[in-house]
Amino acid sequence: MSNNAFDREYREWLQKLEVNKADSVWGGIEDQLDLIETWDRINTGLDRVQPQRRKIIPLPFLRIMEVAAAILILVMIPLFFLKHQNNTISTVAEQRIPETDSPGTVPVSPETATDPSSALTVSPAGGTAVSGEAIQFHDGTALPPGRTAGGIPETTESEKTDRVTDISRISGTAGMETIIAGLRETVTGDFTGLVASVIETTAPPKKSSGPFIRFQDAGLMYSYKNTWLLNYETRNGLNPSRLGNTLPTFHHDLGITSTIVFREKHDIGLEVLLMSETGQNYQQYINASFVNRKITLNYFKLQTWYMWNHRKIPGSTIAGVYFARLGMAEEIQGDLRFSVRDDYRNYDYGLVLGYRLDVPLFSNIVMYPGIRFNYNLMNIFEGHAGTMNIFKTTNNFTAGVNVTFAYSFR
Amino acid sequence: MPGVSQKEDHILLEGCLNNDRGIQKKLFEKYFAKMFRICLSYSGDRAEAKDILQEAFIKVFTGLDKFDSRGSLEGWIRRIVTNTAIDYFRQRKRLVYTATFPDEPEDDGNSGFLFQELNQDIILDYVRQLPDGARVIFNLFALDGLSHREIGKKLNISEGTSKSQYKRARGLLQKWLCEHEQDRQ
Repeated sequence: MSNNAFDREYREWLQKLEVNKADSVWGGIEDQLDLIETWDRINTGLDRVQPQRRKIIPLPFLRIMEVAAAILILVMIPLFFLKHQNNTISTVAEQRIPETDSPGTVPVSPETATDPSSALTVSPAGGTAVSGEAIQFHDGTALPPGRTAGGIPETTESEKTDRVTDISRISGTAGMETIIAGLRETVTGDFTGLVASVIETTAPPKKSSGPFIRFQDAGLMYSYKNTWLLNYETRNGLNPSRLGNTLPTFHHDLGITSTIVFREKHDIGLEVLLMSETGQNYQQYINASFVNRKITLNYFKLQTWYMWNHRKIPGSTIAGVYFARLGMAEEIQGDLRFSVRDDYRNYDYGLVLGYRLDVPLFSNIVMYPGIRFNYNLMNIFEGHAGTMNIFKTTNNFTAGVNVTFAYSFR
Repeated sequence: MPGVSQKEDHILLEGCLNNDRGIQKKLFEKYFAKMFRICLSYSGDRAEAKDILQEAFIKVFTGLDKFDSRGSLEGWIRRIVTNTAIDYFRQRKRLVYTATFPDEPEDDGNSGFLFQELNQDIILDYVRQLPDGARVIFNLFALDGLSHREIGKKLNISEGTSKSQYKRARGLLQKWLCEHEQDRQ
């Protein structure tokens, strides 16, 4: 403050300056506030009729989602068709096996050979021969020449040709079930001896027996997500009549992940996120000027989920829970950066929901692209002694895309 | 007692955030006099000061949720009022910083008269006669306690311009008031 005598006298004079009654100004303010309030109501009414077009989902996020979706489609479609092509070709080749002279044995599991409900029998694609040779099982037992694994007699030449024709008609999009159903119809009784091909489904086949627990894979996960701190300020920022805006906010997750299989039936995902960020960006009228305000919270997070593998569509749905511990919490207001660690609770827990695809890359490396939603179940904001109640509730929601590169132990 | 005042402010704030018109009026009445004086100092004209104050308080009521309750509410409102005043002149393209004044005075650093003895309206009239740019800088320095560097940053002018405008505004006001005093005697 200036110490100049004139300035000091001026300030003192101003402090004693008489002012008119406040009412006239208040009238104007009241009118303005009424106008804003009325407009708010009209706006809300209009929203019900025609939802307001606001960029809640921002363009960059949509673009990233589009690119991710395009990559997924580009990867999945060829894989999907290639699989069906391979399956059809190898099945057809199997039907023609009696006509060829390929040496070797058909390693057919005795379990699957006697179980008509099991769709799959396994052998190297195309490298099989049945006719006139013994079928060798994994356990060393063998079927005599002239018998199929299912124990039925070899079929005649015309029957084989019919089967080939039938199978060739099945299009690639029909799915493995269609192929197998066709084979069931073609072959009366036990069909397992007819099918000896490499069939990989996106969902690994479930067995009723096996170890109680085993690690299926382990890898690194990265996620790019849109985050929302659901509180009074965020809601206010979405109201066009208020000063300030809630801005779309994006953060990252990084961690290690693993899939654990129980009793060869239940797939459980386990993830340790070393960095799991969330937060909200605003443009607010703070200290009488508009500044960009960024709240960033960084958690150490553990999440686990159950996976439902889909038979007909590729991928798995995941649903589970997470538990997180707050590491860092900071706020940036314009050029100022300060910690708000004390304002937020140390722990957080909530729900995880998502969908993931399994894309085998090469050897034992698998890519799991997917989408993930997180919603927390507790108030993460504590505030301080001076915080008004209206600001004291904050929930967190995130939605994003993620990719995992894992090593499969199978 | 600042504690009591702060508690009272919090009660007022909660009411204002719930759009309680009665509480909003109470808050307005509490700070009206102080803020109106600031507006008067920035503008020199009562009608204009009312316009600025009205605009400022609408910003206060619609932006109260951005107020950090750890800080002083009065200080926050004051900053809004000051910025609204600056915006008011800026929007009307009245913030021009003239290089020279019509009758540039000598600044002797001594007022030579007592403000209290002069009629308030006469002083306000002289304040109003100051060029808008110089008046704003004078207020930012003498009233709000900003440094010339801060003023320069706020108004997008150089530190030197801020210094010279302040000195000239003060000198001019001093000269006019002295002359008035002499005429009166």
